Amino acid sequence: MSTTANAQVAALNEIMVPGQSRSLMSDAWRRLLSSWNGRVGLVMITITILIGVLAPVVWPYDPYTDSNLAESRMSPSLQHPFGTDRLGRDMLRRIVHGTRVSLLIGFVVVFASGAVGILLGLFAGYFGKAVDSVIMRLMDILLAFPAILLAIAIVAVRGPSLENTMIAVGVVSVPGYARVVRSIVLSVRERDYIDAARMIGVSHGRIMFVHILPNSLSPIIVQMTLGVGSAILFAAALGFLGLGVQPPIPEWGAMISDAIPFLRQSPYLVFFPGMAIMLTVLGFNLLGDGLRDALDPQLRK
Amino acid sequence: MQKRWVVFSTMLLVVAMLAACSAAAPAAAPAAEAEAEAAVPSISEESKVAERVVEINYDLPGEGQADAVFIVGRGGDSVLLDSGSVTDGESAMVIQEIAEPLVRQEGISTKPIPWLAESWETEDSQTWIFHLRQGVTFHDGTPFNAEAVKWNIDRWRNPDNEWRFGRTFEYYDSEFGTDTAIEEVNIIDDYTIELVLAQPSSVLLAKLSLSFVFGMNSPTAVMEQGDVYGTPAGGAVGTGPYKFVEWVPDDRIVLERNEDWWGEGPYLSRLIFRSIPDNSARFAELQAGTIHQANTVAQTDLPAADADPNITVNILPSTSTGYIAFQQCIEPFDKIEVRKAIAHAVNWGALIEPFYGKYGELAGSFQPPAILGHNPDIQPYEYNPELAKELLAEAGLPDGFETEFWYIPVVRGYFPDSKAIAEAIAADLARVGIRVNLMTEDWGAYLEHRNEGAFPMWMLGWGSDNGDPDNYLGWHFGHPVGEPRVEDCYANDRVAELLIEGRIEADPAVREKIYQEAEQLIHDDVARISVVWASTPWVLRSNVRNYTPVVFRSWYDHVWIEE
Repeated sequence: MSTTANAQVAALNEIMVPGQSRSLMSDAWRRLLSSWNGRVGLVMITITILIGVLAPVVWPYDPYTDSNLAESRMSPSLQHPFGTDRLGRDMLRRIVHGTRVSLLIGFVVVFASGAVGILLGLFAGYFGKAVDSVIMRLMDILLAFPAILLAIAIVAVRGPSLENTMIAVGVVSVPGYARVVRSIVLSVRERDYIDAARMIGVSHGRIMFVHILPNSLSPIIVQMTLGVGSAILFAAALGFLGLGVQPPIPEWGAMISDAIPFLRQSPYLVFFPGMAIMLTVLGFNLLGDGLRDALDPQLRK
Repeated sequence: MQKRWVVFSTMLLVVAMLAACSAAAPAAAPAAEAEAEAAVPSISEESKVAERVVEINYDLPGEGQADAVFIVGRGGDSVLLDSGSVTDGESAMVIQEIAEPLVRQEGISTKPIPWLAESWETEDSQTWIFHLRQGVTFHDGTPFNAEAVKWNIDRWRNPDNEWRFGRTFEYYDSEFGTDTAIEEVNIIDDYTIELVLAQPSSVLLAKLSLSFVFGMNSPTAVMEQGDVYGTPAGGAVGTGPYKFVEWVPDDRIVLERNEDWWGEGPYLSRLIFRSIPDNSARFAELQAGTIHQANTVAQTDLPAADADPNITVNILPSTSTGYIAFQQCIEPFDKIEVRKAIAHAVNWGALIEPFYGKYGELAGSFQPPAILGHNPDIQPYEYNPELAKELLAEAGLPDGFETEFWYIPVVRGYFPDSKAIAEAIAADLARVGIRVNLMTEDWGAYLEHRNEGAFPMWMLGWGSDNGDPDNYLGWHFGHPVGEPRVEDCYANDRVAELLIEGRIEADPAVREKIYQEAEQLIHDDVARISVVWASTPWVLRSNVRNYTPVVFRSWYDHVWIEE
């Protein structure tokens, strides 16, 4: 009891004492950097993004003309640190360029499905009643299908390709955002300052986007960060099933599925793309966890 | 803290699951298809003539060795055990142990020999008289006679036959078509029957020797069981060396010795076909000795099979071809320069070592050397990207073009890793400016769309059913004169005439010339690119005796196990 009171006093002091005040964001940033998982996640993601952005500049690659059957399935060596696949293609190079594909899928999916999910959640939470029912029942229908089956169905109808992978993964991610946003909006809209805004005649749109949304951002940011990781994993699963990005574009999941017949003879063909998926997803999850801790007002010291 | 570990371990679990799923994934269900896995009737390379006789000296089991249980491990379950109405290899191999044809191929040759028919005579290849074996009964006691034969033939040929239960008899339709259809079936006496064809056909006996198609079912059993005949609930009744006992779907089919079989043997008390979809699990069982034969061993396991003294790997001369085909009525494949450019742009020879090892040979002509009519003068296309670019320029496409290239979604002996092979081909094509988008779809849809001519460029293969060129070159390039084929829009009147002649001609030497000429014309047209002649290895325990390694007629009546 007293600790809570102390924390509140401390928080008040932070706000009240001039010169020592910090914005929510810089405060969160400081706390993110001070946590172990936040730091590690941030470093991992930074490296991954750098690899993804710089690969075509530093080490250009044309997957369409890449094959060298004379060097089929060579074990890791100095020349090919990660070995070569069945077509004699350098695995390191394909994994590096696969980073771009995975990150592209991760970010596009999260921003697209996040935008749609946030809008739906905002409307559902703010207007309530019939609007809420209609939107959330639609989300429930989407959630009622196992995500991977729904994604497979979407790809089956539209045909496998990079765009359709993103659409499929995006569609199955929408309900998650909608539900998170709705639950926050439900509590935020009962606050006194929202009542005040309503009383002085502020429009619905302004209340939603200027007063409610910014005050609901923390959990959304966490959800989106974790979402990048799960979108990458999901896309890899589709790729593994042969329904994702089509050959010869390097995609980690498809690389694993291509290598499975050689698991006993050439395990490195499965190991390296598997590690790439794991490290990238781990990075986003650590960062998401760190952000959750940093942005949660309950945990302020 | 706790949550972090939940996230982390969940991820590990997912990665582990990704790896685990894989094991089951490549073992695609065997589709019912005519392109059934390399159907290898074995013919040795010295002679391509179907009349050749190969002596097999079967050794007989010793005292107490004739009662073993033989277990076959295979990738998938049978579809239906009703001979004639199925086209898949998994059904075929069980059916032919139960139901027997009038004519069978001898040993490992393609020579038709008397089976349920003891002899036959014909004067004009149009009217055929068969003298049936006497004293044979079906497993249910029904006598085998001319009545039963007529009943079976009527069921194959008449779409309105009331005992078809809506099943189709595709093999009868494709083998006999309308031009050589069986027009009349006349019972002369109890053990003599006369078949009259719509036109003369020298290959009638070769056709009838497709034992899994033209095996005789017991009329009483079919009529009594109705539409459960051939299913797990019903079973199958024939005259063969083994009788149906039980069928547990997706698990096993059990047959037992027919003590009253008219022939010599069989020497096994039971013959069991087990479905083991996972390639490595099946191979592991063979190594452990819990099965005696593993059908389809992954190429990656073959070195281990070679090294194991308890396992014998049989390699037969190839009777299957993997090929690339084009839709020749659409641009740009209507131009022969473009097809030729593709033939020269790809280093076909480089595909053999990494993908086939010793189980494949770079193809020249469409038919492999073991098939009658193989043309040895046709050489594989030379790898020459510069020439390919020149040819493209000649065709008015100096910058190349973009198209779809469809690859098969399943593992087949002729394309054991179709996706990787397609990728290698695509990379070579991209180097001369031809950008192909790799496409695939569900196997059933793939075959259907191929039949409709929906693909601009695709890969597929063929395994001979009976070693006859009519079932090989004829099947792939035969068409009515002046009427293009649907699947690839190929039309060449001379080829059409030759393939019709080849079907009627009786003299093997003349037929060989006919098919060789057709091979040359097809090659000149670049109607298709033959990529590989693939052989399917047959992998068994070394103590199996008298096994004849031929999938569509892998007889078990002489087989025994040395303990």
